[in-house]
Amino acid sequence: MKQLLALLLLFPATNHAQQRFSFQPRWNQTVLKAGSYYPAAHTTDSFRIDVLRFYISVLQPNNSNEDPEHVLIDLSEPGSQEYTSHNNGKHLLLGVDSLTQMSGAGGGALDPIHGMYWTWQSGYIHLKLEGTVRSADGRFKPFSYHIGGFETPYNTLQTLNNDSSSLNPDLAVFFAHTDPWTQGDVMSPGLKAVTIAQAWKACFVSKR
Amino acid sequence: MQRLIVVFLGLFAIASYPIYDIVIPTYFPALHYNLKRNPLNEEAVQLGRLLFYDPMLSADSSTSCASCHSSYNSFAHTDHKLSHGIKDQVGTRNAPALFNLGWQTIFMWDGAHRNLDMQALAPINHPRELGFSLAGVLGILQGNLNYRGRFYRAFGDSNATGEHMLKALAQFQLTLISAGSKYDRFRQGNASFTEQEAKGYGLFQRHCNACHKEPLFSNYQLASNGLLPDTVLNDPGRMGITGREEDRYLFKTPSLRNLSYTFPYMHDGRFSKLAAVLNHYSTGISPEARPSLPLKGPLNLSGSEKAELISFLLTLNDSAFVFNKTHAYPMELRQIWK
Ligand code: HEC
Ligand code: HEC
Repeated sequence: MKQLLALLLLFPATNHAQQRFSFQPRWNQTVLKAGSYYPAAHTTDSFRIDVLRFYISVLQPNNSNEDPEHVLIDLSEPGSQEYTSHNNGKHLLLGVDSLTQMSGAGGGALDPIHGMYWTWQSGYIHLKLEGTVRSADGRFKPFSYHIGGFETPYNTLQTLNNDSSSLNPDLAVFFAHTDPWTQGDVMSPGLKAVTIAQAWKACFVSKR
Repeated sequence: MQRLIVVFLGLFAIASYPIYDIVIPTYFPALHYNLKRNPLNEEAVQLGRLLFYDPMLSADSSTSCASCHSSYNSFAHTDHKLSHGIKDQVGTRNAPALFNLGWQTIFMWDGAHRNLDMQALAPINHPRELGFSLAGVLGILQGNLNYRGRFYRAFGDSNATGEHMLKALAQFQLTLISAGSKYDRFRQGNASFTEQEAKGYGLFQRHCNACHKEPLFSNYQLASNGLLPDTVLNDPGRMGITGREEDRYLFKTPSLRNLSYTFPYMHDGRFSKLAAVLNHYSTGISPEARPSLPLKGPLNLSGSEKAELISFLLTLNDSAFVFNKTHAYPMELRQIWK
């Protein structure tokens, strides 16, 4: 009880409007399912996604000194794709904001137990996308994208404008920008990761 | 006059936690580590200490953090050029000494880690160090009632979460403060240097202080001190992380406190004696290794200058730190796994 009181004193309650977000991965208009092949419009290849996990940071308005909120969305957990924010933040980031990256072990969505943190260097993995591409003549190639990096010049953080509360990423757009045959494995920060991060952002903005 | 201030590091702790206090000299800069996110408390420090010494953190229960970071060596690994992990596998770098980590801004020889909490993920997962996984370690801790009780007392939650395990390890490591050398007594007005030490101090300020900045004896930045890479290991330094050619040969500048306990020296442990280090700075600096300013080339120190520098460096030894029992192996560990 004493601890509760102390907590209340430390964090005075504020009247924030709640905001609901939906981050439901899609392939064009349909809800994306793990393990199924999807045809693409721009090529005769089809694409299968097995793992899709990504972070969103909901930043506080500039004049607030509260911490941003962090959401970890997982294709295999539909519950993770709905999120109610308790702040007035109008700015969303694809990934974990740099200040949080520098501030040490986090809990909840930020606990490194989720496997979304590199171990050999500092940094959360903003996006994990793994699967297989299949050509029309039946060739296969697995791909793995572990995209992160928050330090210049290879900062992979991307801003989103949340003018809509539905921010369902369209993975068909990702593969219109990225060719797994030529660039199938990107798992460390660098120039390639920056390019992939831009393709990832395009999934949220090109069409809704 | 004792000019020490007691900084109550636990100031931000939730009311019912014990307050942990550490004495920090006034001439130390502000702490870099943000204690508001991880307020020190006695229970968490002791939990971190147990974890640091517990070989159950390794895949085959053979190796602990302390296997490579021994308190008697100022938490370095003496006698081994390169660190040894599980199954006697040899790593690729010399285990650095651990102290004053709260002021350190980058970790690892190549600055790969920017935060003390998260650094521990590296040895836990490294196949040649503890060779385990975070989930593996947490599973083992979660299955031990004694540890669960300790997690509860430290963080108000009996679950061994990744966050709390890393914060406890960081708390113990933050208490490893070395500020009791002859140099420190000199700064506090409680000791004076011999003539040789004083001359060495002058030379140090001229040639070394730009990188090994007092009073911590490092600016905790990356630099090249003109060492050409070992031909076998061929360690590219910072470039291994960034892939950028301009980062080749850059390594984290280590602190020069406690050198008598932390040999061998440099990222690959190539020098076992301080005299060899000074010979390197005197005549061995290679322009090809693109030495960072103010090192442009060999310093050409005379024999007596080298001796003076070494006598000053020896004033940075802090035996009280090295033999501090509160940092050493915790006997309670024996009870935990009974
Ligand atoms: C097998 C030996 C080994 C083990 C076991 C080990 N370390 Fe290390 N440690 C090293 C080496 C080698 C480095 C330098 C690595 C590098 O630069 O790439 C290092 C670096 C560090 C650093 C950074 C210090 C600095 O000044 O940059 C910290 C902190 C650290 N270790 C803490 C730990 C903790 C905590 C554990 C246990 C969870 C641990 N170590 C286990 C060998 C080891
Ligand atoms: C340009 C910056 C710079 C200057 C100036 C400099 N050093 Fe260093 N020093 C370093 C770096 C970087 C390392 C680590 C190099 C490595 O391991 O590859 C280092 C390592 C050392 C080490 C090994 C410590 C350990 O724990 O392994 C000693 C001892 C040392 N320096 C002493 C000196 C002395 C004495 C001087 C002055 C004569 C000096 N340094 C000047 C950057 C510098």
